[in-house]
Amino acid sequence: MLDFPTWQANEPGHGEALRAIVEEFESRHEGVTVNMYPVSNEDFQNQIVTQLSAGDPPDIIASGNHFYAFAGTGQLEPLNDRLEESGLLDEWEDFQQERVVDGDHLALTMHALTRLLYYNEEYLAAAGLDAPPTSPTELADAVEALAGSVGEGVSPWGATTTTHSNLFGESTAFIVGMGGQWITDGEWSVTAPETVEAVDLYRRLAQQAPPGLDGGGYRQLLGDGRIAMSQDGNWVISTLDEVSPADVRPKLKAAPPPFENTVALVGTSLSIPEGISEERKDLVWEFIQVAAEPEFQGMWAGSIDAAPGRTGSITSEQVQERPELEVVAQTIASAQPEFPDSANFRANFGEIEQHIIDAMMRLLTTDDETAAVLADLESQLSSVTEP
Amino acid sequence: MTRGMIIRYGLIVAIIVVLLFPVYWMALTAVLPTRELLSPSPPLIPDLSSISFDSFQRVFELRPVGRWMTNSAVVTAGTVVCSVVLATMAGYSLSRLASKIGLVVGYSLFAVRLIPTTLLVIPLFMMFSEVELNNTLRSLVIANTVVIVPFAAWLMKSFFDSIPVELEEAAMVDGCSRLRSFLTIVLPLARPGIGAVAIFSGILAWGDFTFARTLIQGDAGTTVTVGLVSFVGEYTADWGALMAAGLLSIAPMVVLFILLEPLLISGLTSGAVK
Amino acid sequence: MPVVTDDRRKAGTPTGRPGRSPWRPSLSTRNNLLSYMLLAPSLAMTLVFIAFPIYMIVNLSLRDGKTMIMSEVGDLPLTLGNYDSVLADPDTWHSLRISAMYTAATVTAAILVGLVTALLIRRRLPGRRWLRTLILIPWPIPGAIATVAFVWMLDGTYGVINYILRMVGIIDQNVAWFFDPQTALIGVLMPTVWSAYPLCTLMLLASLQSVPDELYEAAKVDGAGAILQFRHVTWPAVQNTAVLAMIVTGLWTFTTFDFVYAITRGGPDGATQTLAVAIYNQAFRFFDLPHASALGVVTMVLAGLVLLALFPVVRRRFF
Repeated sequence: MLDFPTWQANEPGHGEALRAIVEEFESRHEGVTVNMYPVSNEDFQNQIVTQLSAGDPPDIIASGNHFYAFAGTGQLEPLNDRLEESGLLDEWEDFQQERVVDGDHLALTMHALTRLLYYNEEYLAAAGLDAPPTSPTELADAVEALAGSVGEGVSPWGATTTTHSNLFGESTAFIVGMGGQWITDGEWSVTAPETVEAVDLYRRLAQQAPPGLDGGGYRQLLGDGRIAMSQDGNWVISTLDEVSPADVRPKLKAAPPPFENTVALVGTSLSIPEGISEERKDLVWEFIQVAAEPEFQGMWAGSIDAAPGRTGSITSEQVQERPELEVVAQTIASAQPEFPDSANFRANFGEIEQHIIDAMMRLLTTDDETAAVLADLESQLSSVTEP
Repeated sequence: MTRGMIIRYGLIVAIIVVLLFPVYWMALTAVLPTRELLSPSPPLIPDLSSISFDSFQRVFELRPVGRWMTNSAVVTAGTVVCSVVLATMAGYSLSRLASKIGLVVGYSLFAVRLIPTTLLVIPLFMMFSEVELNNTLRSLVIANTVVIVPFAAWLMKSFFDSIPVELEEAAMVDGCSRLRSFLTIVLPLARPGIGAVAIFSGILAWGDFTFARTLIQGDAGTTVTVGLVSFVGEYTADWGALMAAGLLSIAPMVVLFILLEPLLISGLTSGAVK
Repeated sequence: MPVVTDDRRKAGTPTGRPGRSPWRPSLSTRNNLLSYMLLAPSLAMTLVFIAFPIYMIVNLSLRDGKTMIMSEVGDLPLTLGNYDSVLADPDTWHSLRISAMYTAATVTAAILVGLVTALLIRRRLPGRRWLRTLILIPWPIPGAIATVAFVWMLDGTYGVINYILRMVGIIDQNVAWFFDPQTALIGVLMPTVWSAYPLCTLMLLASLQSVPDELYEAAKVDGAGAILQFRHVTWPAVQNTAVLAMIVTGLWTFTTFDFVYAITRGGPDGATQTLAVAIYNQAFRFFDLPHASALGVVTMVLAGLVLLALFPVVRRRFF
């Protein structure tokens, strides 16, 4: 039996796609079962790092942003030989590079995602806006207009407003979107003017969001028609299909984010841990290969509108049915990576993320100057690691 | 009934209503449709016709609550057995031995209380992974027993103290060995104390969060406390199912407590009620 | 925390009973052996799972580097750097302050609730056994699960506590309890106190019941009102137990982790990061076991010092 913990087992779209891969793998391997089980996203990173570090890992290691923490334990098996032998590398999109550490491919990316602007058409119209915003200034104005027009119990903007790893991704989307990065040219750029401007906008909007909510919370409110607009991952479309009542769902629309840059998020990737037997490693590799087949790669496009890792996995029928897929794929091809190009940043991501989360909470809950909070953050981050 | 008594009853009822409100609200959330509760003014007293037990059904589909409960039950049972046996032995020894060394050792057991569990768990984690006990329910039984026994032993000691030594001496004069008189005379008399120790350690083991959170990583060994807390982030919107799970997981201990409370109280205060 | 005493015991035989051993001279070596044999398993367990771990913690706190594997600890170089960084880290002192506030507030509130409930059910009343059971109900409820119930009751949008507070006019606007650093600690305190008070009730009840009713009658005859009765009869009778209850509750609160972790994991921005949570975060979030161990040693020393400072008080009252 292969253990396969994942934070996505119960997520609409992701869950179905992963289950299809598990079923196909099991049907090809008589007597081998895959025990896929859910772990909440908050606990997932801690659990897996603990298991990897203690030398007692589960068999199939899935990861999103957790990847860097996992790689940091030094307990992920390099896949270079296996990838070369199978010829998969030639078939793969460039974002696979985000999973290479010191020349070692430590995971195979399944797909990449991006962020979209979600909005409730009705509320926008009521605020006198006939189209979603297309620039940061328009975004700020739109939220202000919404704040004046939405009724009691509806919030103009939705964002994560509790101590949660989402705070990193959501603030980074503003920073990268407006041309900044946490590290530029080998220096921390937390206090650079463009970062401060982006974080300030992020802060002003998030302060309009209902307090105390995590990602699941504000998606639910968007689906219920209690939030007018938010920025969220493109996979949320399938979540909305599931949670939104029939009278609200048709009013919810998605648009490209109103920024000059879009962010590419490397979605799920799969790794083999070093601490299991050779025989198990081979089985896990076969599992990864099943997941890499065009049929299953195409499923990511179908179920969560992702850009698959394998080039050309989207069939022409799929594109005909959902023209957005082509847009998502093109967007991601030209998008900026979420993480700065720094090995130290990735190696210390756990601690860095914690400091960024705390700083964002401070911005959301106090009146401290944005620049001052970011200056504190920069000095904390500098003491964690060199850029 | 005097006026004073009516006032007293009124006050008691009022304070019980306030103190037990969290349990009431859990129950209400579990049986009312989420739609009614997700409102700025939720009904404090429910409309009986809208009560349904769907949440209890749903929670079993969402998460393996049955397995969590089984795991908690196994850990609790194991801890209770180990704690009772060890504490009875040690308690008798501390009560009758009464030598300086014994007491010093006994008091030093209390040092455990000074150590934050989150700290103790660091070396335990390393030790258990060294002998491949991590991710087993056995590791939880050991860890829980370790922190429970010092208290349980002192509880038993005070209980044995209340049993007159003359009884044993009489038996020993009659030719009984020490061990025999312990088994046949003292032990039966100590039954209420043993019962109290059993419930006490049961409550602590069932409620353990720190050990279960750190020593168990996979899903196979998840206990109710850890399972429920992990549930919070994931299904924030489904409070009905979450509270149904919470209610199920407090039910065994609350029911036991209600039934056996007099025994527990008399056992815990045994040092006093001689 | 089964340490329920009765102040009557003070007058009778103190713990350890050095005087009371009529049969002790007749203790044969064999009996002695039996006693040691009965104590041995608990002792062995304590040595292996408490003493050795403490040694490991101290050992780890003196190492430079990160590892989670025991056999690798010995290979790491020795250093005092972890203590340097723990003592220099403002986070340590911040956590200490949070821990102190959290502990003091829990102890105060739990003792108050415990005293009020114990006073109410002190006297014989029909149905007292059931009233007492109901009052003690939070005791068998796991702290983590109580916390989950409070998370729901304190929800910023749909929470019933906000609703009730709005209804009675204490607040106009919903409070986002766990979002605001000003209120997050209050939110965490609620389930903590709720779990902590039953033990106080029980301990105080035991000592209250030892006060003879005649004392109250006499006070009444002397014309003492309820407040004077409390001051001159009730309080002197329970103060020793109250101090003990405070120490037990305080130690428990100082080392507990369930409540904070299950709600805020120390946030927002460290507003609820107690020392116990800081240790967990260092060890199992940042995987810096040496730093966590050093922080733990500092914590234990501090807790020990506070206890030592309190010891004369305790000693005067109990021995």
